[in-house]
Amino acid sequence: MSCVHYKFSSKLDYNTVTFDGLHITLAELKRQIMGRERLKATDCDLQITNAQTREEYTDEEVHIPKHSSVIVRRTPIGGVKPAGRTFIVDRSDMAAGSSRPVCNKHSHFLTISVLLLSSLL
Amino acid sequence: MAAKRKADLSVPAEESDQLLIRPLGAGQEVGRSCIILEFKGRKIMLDCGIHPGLEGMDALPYIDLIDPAEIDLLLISHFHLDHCGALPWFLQKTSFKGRTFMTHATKAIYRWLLSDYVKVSNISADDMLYTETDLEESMDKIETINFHEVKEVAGIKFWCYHAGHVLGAAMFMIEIAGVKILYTGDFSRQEDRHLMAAEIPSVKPDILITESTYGTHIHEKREEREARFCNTIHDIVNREGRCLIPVFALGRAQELLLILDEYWQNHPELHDIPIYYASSLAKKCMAVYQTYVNAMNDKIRKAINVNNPFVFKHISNLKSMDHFDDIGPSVVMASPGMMQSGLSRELFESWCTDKRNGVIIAGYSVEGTLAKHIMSEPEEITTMSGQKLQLKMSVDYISFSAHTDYQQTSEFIRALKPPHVILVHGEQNEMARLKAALIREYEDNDEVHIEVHNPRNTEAVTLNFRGEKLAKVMGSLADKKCQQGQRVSGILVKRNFSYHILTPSDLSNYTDLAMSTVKQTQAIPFTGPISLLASHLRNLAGEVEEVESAEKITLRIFKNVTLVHEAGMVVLEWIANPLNDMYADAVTTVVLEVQSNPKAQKVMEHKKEGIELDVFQQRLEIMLLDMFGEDCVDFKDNKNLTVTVDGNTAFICPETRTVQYEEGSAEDETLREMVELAVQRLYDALNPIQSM
Repeated sequence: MSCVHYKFSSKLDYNTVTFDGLHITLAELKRQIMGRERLKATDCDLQITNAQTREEYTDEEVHIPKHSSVIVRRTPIGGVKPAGRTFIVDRSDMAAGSSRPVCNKHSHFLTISVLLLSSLL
Repeated sequence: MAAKRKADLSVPAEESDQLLIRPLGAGQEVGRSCIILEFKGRKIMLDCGIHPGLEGMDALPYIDLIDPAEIDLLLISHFHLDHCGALPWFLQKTSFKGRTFMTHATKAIYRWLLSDYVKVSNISADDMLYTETDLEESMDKIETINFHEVKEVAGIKFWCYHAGHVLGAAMFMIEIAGVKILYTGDFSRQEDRHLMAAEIPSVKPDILITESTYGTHIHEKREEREARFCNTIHDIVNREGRCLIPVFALGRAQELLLILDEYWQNHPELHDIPIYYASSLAKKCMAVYQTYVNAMNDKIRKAINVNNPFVFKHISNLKSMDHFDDIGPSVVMASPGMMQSGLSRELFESWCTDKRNGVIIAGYSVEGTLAKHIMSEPEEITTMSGQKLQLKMSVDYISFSAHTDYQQTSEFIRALKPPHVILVHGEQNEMARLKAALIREYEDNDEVHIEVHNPRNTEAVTLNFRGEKLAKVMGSLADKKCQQGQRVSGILVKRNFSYHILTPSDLSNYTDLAMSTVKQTQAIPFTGPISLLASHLRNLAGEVEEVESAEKITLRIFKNVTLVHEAGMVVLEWIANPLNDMYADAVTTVVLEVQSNPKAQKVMEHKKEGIELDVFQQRLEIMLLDMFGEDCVDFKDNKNLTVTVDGNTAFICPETRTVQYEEGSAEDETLREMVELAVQRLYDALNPIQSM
């Protein structure tokens, strides 16, 4: 009996899927995992990546060799969309309400347009 | 597509201006609320619920897309299953190690509500995400917070406001680096019998994450709703029917009990008809309600002092089906609210075929549950065992679920005017309608611009907060008022998100940091005479000072390195800084050289200061002969040293090392410059050490 070990990314331990032969296809592996975990939702898909090489298996017919370890992620069908456009929020000069003066000595506010903050450190 | 997002490599996450909001659940759906907020390297999870219409792992939010170990803070808004149902699983079965916060009432009720859910769940033990033991063990990991109490975790400040909706429900305001985000959870702006209306925060948030359950609907008036509810029940019992109201043991049930008790009080003809509140946890639940009265509204707080309204006159507790004598009309409130399993489902199945009976759905029902299904009035329903039954009993939907409607949401947003609004917790179409309505409302408004987002599950909204960074100058640097364009230098101290500039000497006043000096001492074995060493050191350093007052012979070299002659060794001392370290290195080399070289063990003459003029002139002649050839150089006359090339004659003065032409002869400066440079260089080579 050959097996493939799988672990959900958020969970802590590995489980196993057993099959006959030297390898298992991605589609069959997904089916087996969904069966064992009782995942029935129709809008859910699994993203399988190799635990050592971090390579994602995308082709449904690709062969995964026996004794491999894979990481499984539940994703919505259609996969995770990359982030859309970034919205820029311009903030006018705000009083730093979050900073607390440590001492009562008088102090002045200085505005510094810091592009390379690290150069001052 | 990697699940982990790597921050822009050139800017570390701590300094980046990018804020990310990603729903892992409740994005264009209702159920399994779980929203991730990332900013300045901090990661916060808002709510951790399960989907009531799904089972097992399917019901969880898409937690696989984040690393639980990276979450710093988890905030739970209230005890409904779709907001905290996955909490025991998340705390006990993942690598999460951050801190969890909820209000006191929420924590108390969470314990019993989830316990009820675990008991009532119909699925086999293998499918269960967690057990009663997991739930018990998770209690210690949960910390509590009072309303309006400000807490700070990992540089994140947060506090909560009353949200109405259910007892203990909170809206969380989170502040990171001056950016404020308000997460409403589920809220209601209408006061009811025991809860206050949601507060409008006095602080305006930059981002508002709000529920959109009822989208553009407008609720009927409270009095009308209560009247409709009571009349429907009255009709059902009048026609000898049984009335089933499926609700969870805790939450809206208490509001309904208050309504029913009052109605029965006012209708003596109903006193024979029993009202049952069916829950094995009833006693514990009511005890909780009686404890957390200060989370309720003023009216009921006053009433509690007089006569506890939660001690009902017409309602009796029902522990289980065995205690129930099903004879004649009655009203039963049983859990769970959406009839997936448990007592409410059992009763429904035994009553649904009789048309005298009626069921009232009193809360929001999620897609996929039986409660939602029967609202479409199907002909028959499937029981838990798979059997088909005719649905003849009446079905009424009267929602007391205390969610905000369009009027309330619109008013809330108008009061806060957040530049960005993110809609969650709403079914796709409802949410889209709400988004369109909100955009329409602010379309023509030039002063207020609100951007509305409705991300799907796992879809991120990215916002970039550009702003000026402010640093406060304190201590002695602040003594004088500065002008624009003036240079200020000091040490920049960053504490969480506030920056201060201080002089090094002020550091200990304002921080735990202090300036210190490091003194280095080095002992080198040396057995020769100190005078030999001293003369070698004079070769190196030019000037070597003898310290008069010391007992042992002490020399000061380069003004900063002290050398003390002890028995069999010399001890070097200097204050560590790059320059002094270099001097000390050079001195050490000389000492080691002298020590290890036996031929040098003889006294050298005191070096002459500077080179003799004759010697210099001789050497100069040799060099110039080499450069220009015998014909051009004329040194015969000691006063006149000349170099002649192509008819141009350059006169050299050895004392000043300057070179001149004859009066008014040549325009070409190259010969003069060349010779002058050569003369000067020769002189420098023969006199390498200038005084340091």
